[in-house]
Amino acid sequence: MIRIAAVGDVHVAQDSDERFEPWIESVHAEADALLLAGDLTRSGNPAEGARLARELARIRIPVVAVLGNHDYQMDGEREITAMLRDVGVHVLEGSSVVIPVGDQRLGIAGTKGFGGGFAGACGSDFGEPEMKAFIRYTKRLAETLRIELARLEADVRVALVHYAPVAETLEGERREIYPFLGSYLLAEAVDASGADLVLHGHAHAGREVGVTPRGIPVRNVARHVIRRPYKIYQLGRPAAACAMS
Amino acid sequence: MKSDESVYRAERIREALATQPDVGELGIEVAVVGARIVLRGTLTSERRRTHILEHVRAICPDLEIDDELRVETLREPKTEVL
Repeated sequence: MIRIAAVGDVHVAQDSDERFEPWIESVHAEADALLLAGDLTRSGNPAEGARLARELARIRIPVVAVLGNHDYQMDGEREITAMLRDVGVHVLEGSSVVIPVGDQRLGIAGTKGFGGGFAGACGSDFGEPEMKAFIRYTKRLAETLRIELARLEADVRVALVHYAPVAETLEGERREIYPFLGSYLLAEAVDASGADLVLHGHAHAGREVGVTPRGIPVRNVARHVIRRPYKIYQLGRPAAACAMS
Repeated sequence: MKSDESVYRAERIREALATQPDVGELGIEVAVVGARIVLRGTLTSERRRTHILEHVRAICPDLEIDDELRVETLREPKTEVL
């Protein structure tokens, strides 16, 4: 089995209590990879990114991340991305990575994603340039997710996003803000290419468990939702048994 | 019933909590009712709560705070087999 540790919305800041350090040894023992579902920093300040990078540098299993809206707040997303990549974190945006885990391959395709809403109550690519830009941005990111998932050659495929792909994991949030919390376009992309699991964050008041229309499990791993430093998901087949003579 | 003015003021305060770099908190509900401000939401540490309350006192010293913020401590990690 492949063991994925996942958490989103850690919101690391220079003065925050949010730290990985107390959990480093346990995540090493319990997981084959750590996936971070965006909102890595509180305000997108590169100094926050630097602190996060120092902490993640101590983690010895592969770390894969997407950014979230908070990480864009101070226009420092490129700097934060570079700092995380410098310490070996795979920061995905319309891209993917394959990680060998024993005799299996864990493939992760990631994008931050964006909003727009869900079937029956969503924005359309229509009207003012600003409205069209909003929806086209979501469409573009969803399309990169579809393409990257389709090209992944792996035993277990995971879609890692920040914004929610389904409304089900938003239950608990106010319905009025659903269009700012995610888009069905992300789920459509995942369903088109297939995956074993979709991980997202962003919706602090939502709930953990959901599913796409085609039955792919969706998990909202925002730390406020899972109320743990991370959650472990086991996927794939059991490791091959050693040959006995 | 809230007056229009209190609705606008609550939204200005909510926006300030979101955009102030050392606060950066989008998950707090804010309501202004008369001379009181009600804050609701879940935070991850007592220090964070103290910081947010100090910030609200600074930007609206004329309002008495009803602190309904909750601090949630983390539980042990858990595994789900899919």
